Amino acid sequence: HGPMQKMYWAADPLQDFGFSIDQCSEHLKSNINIRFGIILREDIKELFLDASLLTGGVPFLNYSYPICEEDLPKFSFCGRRKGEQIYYAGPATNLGFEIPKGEHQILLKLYNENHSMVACANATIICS
Amino acid sequence: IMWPTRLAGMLLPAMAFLSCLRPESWDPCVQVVPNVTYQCMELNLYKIPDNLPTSIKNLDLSFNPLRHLGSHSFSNFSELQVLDLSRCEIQKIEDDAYQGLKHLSILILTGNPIQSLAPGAFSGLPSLQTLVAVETNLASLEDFPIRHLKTLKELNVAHNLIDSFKLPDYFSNLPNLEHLDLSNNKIRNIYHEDLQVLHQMPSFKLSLDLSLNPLDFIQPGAFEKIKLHELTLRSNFDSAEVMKTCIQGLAGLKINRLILGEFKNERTIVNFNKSALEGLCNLTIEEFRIAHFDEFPGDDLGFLNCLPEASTISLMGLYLDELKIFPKGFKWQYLNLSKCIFEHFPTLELTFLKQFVFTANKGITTFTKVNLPNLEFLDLSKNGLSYKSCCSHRDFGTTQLKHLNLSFNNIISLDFQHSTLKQASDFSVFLSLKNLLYLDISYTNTKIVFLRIFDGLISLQVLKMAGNSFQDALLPNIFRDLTQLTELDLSQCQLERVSQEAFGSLLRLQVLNMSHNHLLSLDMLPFKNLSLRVLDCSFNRIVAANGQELQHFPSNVTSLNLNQNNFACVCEHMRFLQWVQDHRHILVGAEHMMCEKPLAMQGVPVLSFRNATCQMSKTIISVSVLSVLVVSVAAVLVYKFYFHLMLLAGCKKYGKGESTYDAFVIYSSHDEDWVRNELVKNLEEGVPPFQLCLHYRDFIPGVAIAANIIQEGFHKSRKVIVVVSRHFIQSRWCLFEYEIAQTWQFLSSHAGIIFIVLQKVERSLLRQQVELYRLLSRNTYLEWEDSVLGRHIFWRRLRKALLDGKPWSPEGTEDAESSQDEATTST
Repeated sequence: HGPMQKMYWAADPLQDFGFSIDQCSEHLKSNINIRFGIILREDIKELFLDASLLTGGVPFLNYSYPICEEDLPKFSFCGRRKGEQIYYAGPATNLGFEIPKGEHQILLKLYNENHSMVACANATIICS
Repeated sequence: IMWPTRLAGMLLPAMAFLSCLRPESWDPCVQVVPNVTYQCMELNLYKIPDNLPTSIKNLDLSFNPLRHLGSHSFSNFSELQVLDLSRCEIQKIEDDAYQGLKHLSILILTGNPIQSLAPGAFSGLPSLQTLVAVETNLASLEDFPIRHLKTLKELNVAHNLIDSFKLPDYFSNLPNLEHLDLSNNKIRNIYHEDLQVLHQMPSFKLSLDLSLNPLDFIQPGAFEKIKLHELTLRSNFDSAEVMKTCIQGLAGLKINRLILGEFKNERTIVNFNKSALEGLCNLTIEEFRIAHFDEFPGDDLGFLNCLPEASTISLMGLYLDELKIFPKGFKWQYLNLSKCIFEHFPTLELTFLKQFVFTANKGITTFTKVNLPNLEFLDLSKNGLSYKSCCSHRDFGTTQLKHLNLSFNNIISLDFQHSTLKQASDFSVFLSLKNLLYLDISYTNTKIVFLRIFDGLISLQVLKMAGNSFQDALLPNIFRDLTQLTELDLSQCQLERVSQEAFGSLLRLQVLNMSHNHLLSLDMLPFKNLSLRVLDCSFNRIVAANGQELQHFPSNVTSLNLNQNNFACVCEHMRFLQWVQDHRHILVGAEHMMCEKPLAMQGVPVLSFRNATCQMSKTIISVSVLSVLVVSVAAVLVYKFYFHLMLLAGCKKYGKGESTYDAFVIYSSHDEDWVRNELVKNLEEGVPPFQLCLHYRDFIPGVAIAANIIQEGFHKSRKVIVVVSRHFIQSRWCLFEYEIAQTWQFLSSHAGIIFIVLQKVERSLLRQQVELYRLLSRNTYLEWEDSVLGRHIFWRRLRKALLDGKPWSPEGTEDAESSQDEATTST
């Protein structure tokens, strides 16, 4: 609904992974609400996000962010155990830039302190 | 015929051995460490695989639909230490399921929807230390059949349905229990009797996590006289009032570490107010940590006044706009303020503080002085702070500082002189200081080994590093990134050599101090292309500079100091010494530059060295070389043309006088018969008689052949008869005589050479004597023909030639002619 569409699928066929963004407008607000669910295959004492934004296969933005740090983590899902189900519904910090018009691919990778992949996803954003 | 069978005999056991080793034998599990660790995660196993070695210690069976664990399920694996059964859809665990696992230390049951747990489900686990039963539908600790697990240290029952905080009585059987994770359960109320067991076990050092429980009420006095190691309460309260009553309910607790806070994605208190934390005054807290309160009342940190005796305070992820009223004089030793938002840098006056971590904060841009006299550890990284200057002891009010982290800030000036920097040359320590303009690491006992030590200092303008040292006393190119540098102090660094590329990137360098080093020569190549204005190389051991490199000396230099060096005032360094004279206008104290060598010149001003002395010796050398050359050339010439000269001398002596002989005959001894029988006979006995000079007859014995040839042969003869034959050309003496004859002909104009070709000489042979060949083809010569007519003509022509220039006696001539004719006729 609206000028922006997002499609996603898990890059890892074994992952039980769900993701959705509630708000769909051309200019992302500073805090967008997302919903995210996963059954963990790894402990996540620490969790890191690597995101790349590509247009026509050419990356134009790479973004790395520590989501969970060991000492007093920000989010309640930090420190969860392998086999545990987590569900997150809430705000996600906006990356702080406008998405230019066109079709873009987003590559998301979540990995833990041992560099084991926790989740990964490809998404396509069509911004018109 | 034998060897194939032998080969087969060897191969068969080998193959049998290899087949035992093939990896599929553990199928479908993955062997991580042979016989120890096996990974069977998510393999759709309905039962525990039986083909694993019995020695296995770590087994991961997670994500398999095992559904039900019967008794003695793992009896094959008595050595197991770690068993992971995460999300195995286990609903039922029967009695003695783990029986026999004497060594099992960690049991993980996360994510199993357990509905039936037999009372003896965990029996026979005498070594179990960690039991993880996260998300297992557990509703009560009371019914959890673990009372016999005396070795248990950590019990994790987070993310369950537990609604009571009643710590079961059997905890008194678990004297080693240290960690109890009850987070993310349904606990609402905590009553006095829930903690009864803790009263009975005063030696307990329990760490308790109650985060994410929807706490409503803690009965006052419930924690009275209770000791805990750690209590975590994050995202527990729906409102400030609830929080206030619950904190008050903790009154009387003695605790090592209390952690309060929220999670960004969980329930938050909307209207936080300062009263919420008032109750802290009733607790005894060693370490207090507070994290991520979204709506924290930044104007009131009054609660900190409840913690004067605490040793550690940590405030993380808070919005604190007023920190001016930060408490003073407390006994805090460790203070951590990170990920907060500040309006002002906190004014700190804490006498006991040893460690101050102030990182990743936002909102402030300038650092203000603090007074922390016992501070040893300071982390100010990731703040984006601007420092005009750092780091004097006045900035921090301490002289005890041992560790300083200033990464990711906006520091303009850093001054570490006379500190001791450890590990400064192990990695690019200044990498993130891209705005730094001034860096002083003088006298910090730093030995520069790592070449990229100054990487990242892209804005640096002044670098002072006097009094340090370099590996191998060589200055390498360590200034790669310092393209903006204008001033560099490298004095007292024990430098002996400077690499040619050392200053290659410092195109803006204006002032360079290399004094008080051990440089042996003034190398100009490193300074090539620099826009240097001031160069100080005084107090080194410079002997001279390479004369070839002097042209690379930067032209902008207005001040050059070369005093107190070991100059060698010798002609070898003439170009350098001349250069010094030419540049005396830019040399600082040029008149005080003294020679050190040679001994005779010691203490003499360099400027008084006169190049003229070198010039003079140069002339002498060149003249003597030239004369030697001339003499040797002359000697060579004389040697080569000795006989020609003799001839010349003789010409003058005998030139005017009468000739003794009419002709000197040059011939090969092989042709002697012809000369005796024909030539001598015909010419000497004919009319008029000619006097021939023949070596066998006329040469004076006792005189050298060459001398005879010249003195007797040439000088005393009017003409020379050359008897050309094959032998003549092959004879060295003949050719020598012929060569002299040519010179002789050249010297005395009247002389003539008469050629007689005795026998037809092969042209090829003749060509070897180019001169002779040319002469014969240009001049008329006589050819000996052994026929009557030929002889007649021959002798007539020869006589005629010999008569030329002979003093005239007509009668004799005619007689001779007639008698000759007669003789010829008679023969």
